[in-house]
Amino acid sequence: MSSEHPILSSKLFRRGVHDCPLCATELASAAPACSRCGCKLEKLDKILGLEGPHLKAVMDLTQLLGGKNEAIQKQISLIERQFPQLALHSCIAPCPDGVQPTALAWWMLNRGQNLSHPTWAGLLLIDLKSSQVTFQMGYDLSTFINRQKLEALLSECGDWFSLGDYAGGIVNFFQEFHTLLKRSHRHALETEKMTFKTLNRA
Amino acid sequence: MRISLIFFTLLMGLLSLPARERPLSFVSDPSFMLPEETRESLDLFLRTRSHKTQSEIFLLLEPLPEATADESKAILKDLGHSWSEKNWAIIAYRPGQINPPLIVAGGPLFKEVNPSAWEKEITTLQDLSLQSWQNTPDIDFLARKLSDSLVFFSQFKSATIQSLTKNRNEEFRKKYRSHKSKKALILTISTLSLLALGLLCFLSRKAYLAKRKMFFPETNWTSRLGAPHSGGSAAAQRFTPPSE
Repeated sequence: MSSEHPILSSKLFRRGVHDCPLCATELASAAPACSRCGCKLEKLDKILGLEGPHLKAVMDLTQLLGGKNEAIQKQISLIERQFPQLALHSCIAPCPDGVQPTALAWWMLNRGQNLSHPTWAGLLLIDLKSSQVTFQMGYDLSTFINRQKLEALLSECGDWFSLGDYAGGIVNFFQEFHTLLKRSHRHALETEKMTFKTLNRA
Repeated sequence: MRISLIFFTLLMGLLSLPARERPLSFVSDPSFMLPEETRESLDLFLRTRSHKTQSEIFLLLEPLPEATADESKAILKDLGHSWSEKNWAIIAYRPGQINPPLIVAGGPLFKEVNPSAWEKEITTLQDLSLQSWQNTPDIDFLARKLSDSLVFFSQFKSATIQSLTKNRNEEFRKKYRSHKSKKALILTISTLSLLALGLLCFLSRKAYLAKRKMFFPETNWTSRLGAPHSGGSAAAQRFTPPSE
């Protein structure tokens, strides 16, 4: 890790916003279940099963990408090379009946197999049934990513999908996400530096 | 009889001068009018000029036979032609003489050179040689300048004053232009070098940034909803499905 003071750093970065994947209610820290709908992972396990799929960089269950997987794979590899902590995935799949895409993405990220850095993982899920695109993040990654900016990226990504270019949309999303990561990284380091400076002065 | 003897002596005196052999030194100064150091330095200068250019200056600092200026010029001209096949000039001066030194020139150059330009040059040099605090003309200065003028005139054959001036102006313009173009060349090269250096820095910085590994700082989180990896932090957007 880049930090000189890991304990202080870990206390500094604990501000990720978490919502219930079913009803989108904001969750309190360490909430065992959603205070509104009572959602928890075990409930989804009952619907979707205990064992999730083997997550890969590109998972196309609908064959919509038309062999353009390589471009997406390349972009994801580029990000993972520069940010070795991250593990990014993309998936185009129809959601099972009665399950929302956010809930499916959340379950996949928690129950997914073969995850190298699960808390630093990110999953882009495109549900063709509900025409919805979701990006779910692990605990660590969510700390640094601004949700509003992420929503803007997804909105742009949706424009590509509306034109039928799913591969182009995904590649564009990861390109923009790369830029966002770089900015967030710089911002995080600056925040850390400023805080330590203030602490040292005190 | 006496008159004829005197006439004969004078005639012999006049005739004896053209029969003189070419002097070993370019400076003939039997009465030691010039200081020894000056004489040697001047002789060396004129000798060097004789080797390097097509011009020779002879300095005769001795009494000439009694004759009119034109007769003396004719005698000196004969002497010059017998002494040198190059462009030559003789400066004749009798120590103690009030008039300026007599200057006679000849050689292949004078078949082509504008005589009025040369005469003006000689007159100027004679005048300049007399502008001294001493009563005697500055022979050293005169010889050196005359040599310079001879070299200059031989470089610009059949020149008039106007064309000489024009040539010099053109030469100056050429020099100025080449100096200016050199400056522009140096400026261009240095600008290009700076640009190349800047580009190199930019590319190397870009390459460095592309290869640099970035790590986020440590974080602290508590699990939610019984989930081990993700607590439900997500963003979602709806999109219009593509028309079939």
